[in-house]
Amino acid sequence: MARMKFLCDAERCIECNSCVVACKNENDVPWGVNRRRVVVLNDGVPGEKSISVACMHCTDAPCAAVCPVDCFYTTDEGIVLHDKDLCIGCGYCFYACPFGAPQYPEQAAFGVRGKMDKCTFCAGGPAKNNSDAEYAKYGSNRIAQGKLPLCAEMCATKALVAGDGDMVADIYRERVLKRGGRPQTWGWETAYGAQG
Amino acid sequence: MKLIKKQRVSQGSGQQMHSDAIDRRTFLRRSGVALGGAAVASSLPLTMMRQAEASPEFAPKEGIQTERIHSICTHCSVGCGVIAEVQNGVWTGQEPDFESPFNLGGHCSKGASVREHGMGEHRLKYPMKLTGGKWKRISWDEAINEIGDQMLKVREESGPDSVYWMGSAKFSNEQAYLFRKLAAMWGTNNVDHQARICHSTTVAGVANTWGYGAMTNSYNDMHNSKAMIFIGSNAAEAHPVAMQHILRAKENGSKMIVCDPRFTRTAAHADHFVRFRPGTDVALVWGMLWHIFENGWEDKEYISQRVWGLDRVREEVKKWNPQEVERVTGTPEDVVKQAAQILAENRPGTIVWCMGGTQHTIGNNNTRAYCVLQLALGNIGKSGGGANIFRGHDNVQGATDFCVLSHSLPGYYGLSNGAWGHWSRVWDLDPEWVKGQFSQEEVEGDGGKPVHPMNYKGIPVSRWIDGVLEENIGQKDNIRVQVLWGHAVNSQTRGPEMKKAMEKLDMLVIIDPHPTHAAVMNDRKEGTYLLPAATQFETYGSVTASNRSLQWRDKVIEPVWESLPDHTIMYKFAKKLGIADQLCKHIKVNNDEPLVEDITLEFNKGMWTIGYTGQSPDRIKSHMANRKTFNTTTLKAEGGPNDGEYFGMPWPCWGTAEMKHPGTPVLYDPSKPVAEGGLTFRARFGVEHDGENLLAEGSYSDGSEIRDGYPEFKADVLKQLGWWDDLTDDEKTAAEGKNWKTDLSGGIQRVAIKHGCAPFGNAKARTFVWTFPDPIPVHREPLYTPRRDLVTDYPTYEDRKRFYRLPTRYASIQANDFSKDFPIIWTSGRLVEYEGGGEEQRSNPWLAELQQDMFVEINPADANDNGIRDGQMVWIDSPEGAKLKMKAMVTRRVAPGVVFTPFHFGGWYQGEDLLAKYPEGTAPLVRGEACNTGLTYGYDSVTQMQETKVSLCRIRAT
Amino acid sequence: MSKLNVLLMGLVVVVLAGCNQSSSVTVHKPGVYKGASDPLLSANTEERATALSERFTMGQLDR
Ligand code: SF4
Ligand code: SF4
Ligand code: SF4
Repeated sequence: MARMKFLCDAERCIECNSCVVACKNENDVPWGVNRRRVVVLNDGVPGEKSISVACMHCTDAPCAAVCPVDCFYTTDEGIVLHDKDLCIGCGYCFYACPFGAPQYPEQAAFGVRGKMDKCTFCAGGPAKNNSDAEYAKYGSNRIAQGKLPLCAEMCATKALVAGDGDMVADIYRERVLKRGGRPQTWGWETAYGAQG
Repeated sequence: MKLIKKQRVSQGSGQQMHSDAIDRRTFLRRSGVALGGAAVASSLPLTMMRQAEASPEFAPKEGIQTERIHSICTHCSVGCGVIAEVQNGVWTGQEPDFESPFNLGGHCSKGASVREHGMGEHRLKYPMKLTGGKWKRISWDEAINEIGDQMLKVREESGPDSVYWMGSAKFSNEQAYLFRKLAAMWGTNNVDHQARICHSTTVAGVANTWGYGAMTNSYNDMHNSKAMIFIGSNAAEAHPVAMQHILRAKENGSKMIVCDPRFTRTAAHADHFVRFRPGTDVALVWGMLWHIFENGWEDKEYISQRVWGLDRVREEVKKWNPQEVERVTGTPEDVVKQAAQILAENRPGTIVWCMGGTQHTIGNNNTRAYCVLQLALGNIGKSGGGANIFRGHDNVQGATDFCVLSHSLPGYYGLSNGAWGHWSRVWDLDPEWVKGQFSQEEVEGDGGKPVHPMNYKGIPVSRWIDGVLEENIGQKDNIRVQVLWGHAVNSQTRGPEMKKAMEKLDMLVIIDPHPTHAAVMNDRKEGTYLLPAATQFETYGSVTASNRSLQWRDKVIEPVWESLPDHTIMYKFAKKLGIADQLCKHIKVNNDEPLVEDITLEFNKGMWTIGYTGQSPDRIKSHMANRKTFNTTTLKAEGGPNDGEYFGMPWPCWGTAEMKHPGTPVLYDPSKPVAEGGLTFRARFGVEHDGENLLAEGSYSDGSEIRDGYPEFKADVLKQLGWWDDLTDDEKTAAEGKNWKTDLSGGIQRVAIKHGCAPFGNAKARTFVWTFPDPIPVHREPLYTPRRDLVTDYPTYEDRKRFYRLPTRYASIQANDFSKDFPIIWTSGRLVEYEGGGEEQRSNPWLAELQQDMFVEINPADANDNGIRDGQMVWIDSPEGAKLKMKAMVTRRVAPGVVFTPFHFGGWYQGEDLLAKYPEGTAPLVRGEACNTGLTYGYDSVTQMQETKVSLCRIRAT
Repeated sequence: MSKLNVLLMGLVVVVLAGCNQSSSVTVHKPGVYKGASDPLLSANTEERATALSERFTMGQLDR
C-alpha cells in the first residue's frame, strides 16, 4: 500500500503562495484559517529559502497521542484525519504538532474555539465520500476521486510534491543528483521517522 | 485515554524547531495572519465575518453533472491553462491543467484563485452614477444614453480629441482590436493602454534594433539556456510559473544572474547577485560589456554577419571602465566582471528584463543596451538565447500588437496616410469617411510643423492628466471626458495632479469589474459613471502570451450580476454614437454582442506586419484541444492533428491560415527555414546608412535561395527576382503595387517563403538608432537623483515644447536639488499575490488575506537613522508634495539609502481610508496607500513611459 | 527581520528545545479512535493506488 507523503523542495519553492490559495479554493477554508502556509527563512538576505508547510501526516502522529477524545485516525495510505463531531476544540493537538498544523476557527464571541481544522491531504473525513456533508465539514475528497492534493498539483514550480512516499523520494533524489548539493528533506525525519 | 510519562512530543531537531519558530514570526509579519485564526477572525469587520463562513452556493454538489471548461489565467503573460469545473452554470471547482505546455498544471496564488471571479461578492454589480455625491444605480440603457449624449456634446464643442479612450491589456485580442477600431471610428488617436507604462520602451527600443518589439524566445525555451541574466525582473513574484522553467534550466546546469537594486525572491535563487543603484542600467550593462570587449569575449563572426554599428558602441563603452562603473552604479569591479564572465563562458545565454529596466526617463536606452549586450555575445536568434522580455498582463502582448496605442494602428502600421489606407481597405470603408470622423483642424505637431490630427500621435496613458490640465497642447481643446476602460489609475504617478485632473473633467466613465481607485480618489460629486464589465472568464476569445503564442479561452460562466463583456459594451457605445454599422460592417452581431470569431477573422485579414494572419479561430481552438501533444521544451507538436506546428502559433505566423505556417518559436533564428519557423533580422531601416551596408552579410535562414542579405519584399522585388509568376492570378491582382505588409492576399509572403526567404528581408541588427534622441544608449541621471555630483557628467535631456502633443519637462526638474530634503531613493515593484492596481486581488479573500497591509521596505540603517521600528506606521513624503502612510518593514532586502514600495494598493489617499466612498459592498477587502500617489514626474524620451523606479523621498515615523 | 533577531530567536529556541528534552512531561498515548467510520477506508485501495500513481506521473513530474 502506498504511503502518502508531502515534500517541499526548498530549491524550487518561490514563495508564491499558490499552494495556500489552492487549498483555500479547494476546501473552502475560511479567512483566518490556514491549513497550509509558506514559511521563509532568512527573509531578504542571501540564503533566503521558503518552504510550504501543512500537516505532514506523521507516522505516530503526536496530535493523536494527545487528543483527549481520541478523534484521530490514520488511513491505509498514512493520511491522518479526524472526526469533527467528536473534536471539542481543546487545542491540545496544536501544542503537540511539530508543524503547527491544527487550526481553530473562531466560532462565537470571546475566543471560544471552534472544531479543529487541518490539512486532510485532500481526503475529506469520516463521512460519505464527496458528499455535501463531507465537503461542508472537511472540504474536498480528492483521494477518493483518484486525485492528489490540489496544493501540490497546482504548485507553480513543482516544488511541493505529494504522493506515494517512494515516488516522491525518487523525484527528489533525481533533482538533487542533477543540481548537486545536500538533500534537505525538510520535516521528513520529524514526520516520518529516521528512515523517512 | 491513558496517561503515560516521558514521551517526547516533538521530535524536531534544534534545526527544525529553529526554522519553525522563525517562520511563524516571519509569516505573521508578512501577512498579518495570526496562528489559529482566532485573533484575526475576532478583529474582522462584520462583512469579513460573513466572508469567513462557508459559501454553500459555490460549493460542488454531489450527484450533479460537472462540466470541465478550459480557459487561460487572466493575471499574467505566462498564459497558464485554467480548468474550471462548472455545475449548473456555477463555477464550483478548479483543476490543474497538466496538459498545458506552459504551466504543466502549475499556478501562482493568483491563478489558483481565479474561481473567485465567479463569486464576485465585491464586484461592481450594476451600472451606477454619481449624483449629489451619492452613488445611484441606473440601467444600462440610461447609462449608455447619458454618457453618449455627453460625449456627442463635447465632440460638438471641442472636437473628438476631447474624449479619451483608455483601453486595457485585460481585453482579449478581439476586444483590443475592436477597441482600437472604435477609437478610429470615433475619430481620435487619444486611445492608449497600460503597455505604455509597461514595456513601451522595450517595444520601441527592441523593434528599432532588430525589427520586432517582442519577447524573442519563450519561457519554455529557457530550458536550453546555459546562462540567464535577469535585470529589473522579479520573475518569482511577477511571472511565478516562468520560474518552473527557469529552475528546470538551473537544474540542467544553467547559471543564473540577477541584477537588481533589491535582493528579490528571484535573486534568492540566483548563482550570482548584482546589486546596483536604481536607474543606472546603462552604466552597469556597459560595465559588463567593457569586460567583454577587454577580453575579446564577443562573438566576432556573428557580429560581422548580423550586427551593424557596434564600433560606435565600442567608443561609448570605453568610457565605462570599472572605476567609473562603480562610481555610478555602486557595484564593485569583481561583481560586474564575474557577471560578464559567466555570460561569456556559458552560451547561449538569455536576458530577461521587465519594468525595472523599462520604467525610466531613459528606458529606451536601457532596453537597447540590453540588446547590444546580447548581440555582442551572439545570443540573439538562438534557442536558449534571446531577449526574453517577460510581458506583464495576460494580454498586454496582444493589446500592444493590436495597438491600443496612441501612436499606431493595429499591427504597428503607424498613423501615416498609408496606414489608414491599409486599414480602411481591411475594414472595407471609404478612407474619406474615416478621415471625416477626425477633427479637420491641423495643429502644430511635435516637430513644430502642422499636422492633421489623424496623423498625429495622441496623448499617452502616462500623460492623460496633462492632457486635461496643461494649457499649450497639440490639439483643439483639453480632454474633457475620460473613459477608463479596464485601467488602474493607481498604477500611474503624480496622484495629487491626477486628482485635480479628475475633478476638472466634464465626465469620468469607469468600465471595469470593480469600481477601482479612480472611483474614490477624487472629490467629484457629479458625472462619474461606473459600468460593470465581465471578466475574461465570462466571455471567450483569443489571448497572446508573452512568447507570442495565441491561446483560446472558452466561456466558463455567464457574466455575473449585470456585467457585460467588453465587446458588447463597445458595440452599445458604437450604436449610441452612430458608428456601429462601420464598426461591425463585416462582423455579425447577436443581441448587441459582436461575434468574436468574426473579429478574429477580420484582423487575420490585416495584420500582415507581424503575422497575426495565420492564426484562424479554428487553428487556435485545435491547438487548445490538443495541447498535450506539444513538447514542453520546443513547443512543437509531436504527432497529432497539429504535428510540426508550434503551440499557439507564436507570431509571425505568416501568410493565410490555409498556408499553415507553424508559427515562429524563436525570432531571428536562421537555423530553420522560414516555412518551419526560422527567421532573419528584419530589414526595417533601409539598406544602407552613411554609406554602410545594413543588410546581413553571409548569414541567411536555412534553405534560403538568396544566400545573403536582402531588402523587404515588394511586388517589384518579386518581379526582379523572376518570382512574380509564382503568384496565382488573383494574388497578382491583389499584390500589384503592394508590399509584404499591404498585400491583402498574402501572396507576396507566400512566394517569398516558398523560396526560403523572410518576407521582411534579411538585415543586420542595428546598435546605432539614428532616429532616437540618444542613438547610442547613454547613461543619464534620473530627474530626481540623489547624486548631484553626477548631474554635470550625465545630465538629462532638455525640456521639450511638444512631445505626444504635450510640453514635457526634463532639465528644468533636474536643475533642482531635492536630495537634501528628500535623501532616500524610492523605487517600486511587485508582490506575487497582487497584480497591477490590485483591485481584483484585493477584493478576493483568498489573496487579500495574504497581504493585508501596504508597506515600505527600509534598510535597518535608514530605519535607525529615522527612528523607525519594524511594523510601525510611517509617513513617506514625496518631493512633489504628497504624503503617504503605510507600515514599515525593516529588511536588508533593500540597500541602505533605498526604500521599496509595492504598487498594488489603493483605496487610501494621503493617509485616509476611502472606504466610505465606494458604492456599497464593492470596496476591496484590503485597501492601502497607492505608492504612485507619491511617485513623481519623469517620462521616457521616446515613448513617454513614466519613471516609477527612481524617485526621492523622506521617511518619518507617524 | 534583522539578522540579529533571527540569531537571537534561534538561540532562544535551541535553548528551549534543550529544556524540553531534559524535562519530564506528561503526555498521552493514542487511544482507540472513537469517531465515525470513514468509507475511504473500505474503498478498493488497490484500484485507488493505481489511479493515484498514474495521477502522480501525470502531474508531479517535469514532463
Ligand atoms: S492536501 Fe489538501 S487540505 Fe492539505 S494543505 Fe493541501 S490542499 Fe489543503
Ligand atoms: S506553490 Fe510551490 S512554489 Fe509556490 S509557495 Fe507553494 S510550494 Fe512554494
Ligand atoms: S498569474 Fe501568471 S503565473 Fe500566475 S497562474 Fe496566472 S498566468 Fe500563471
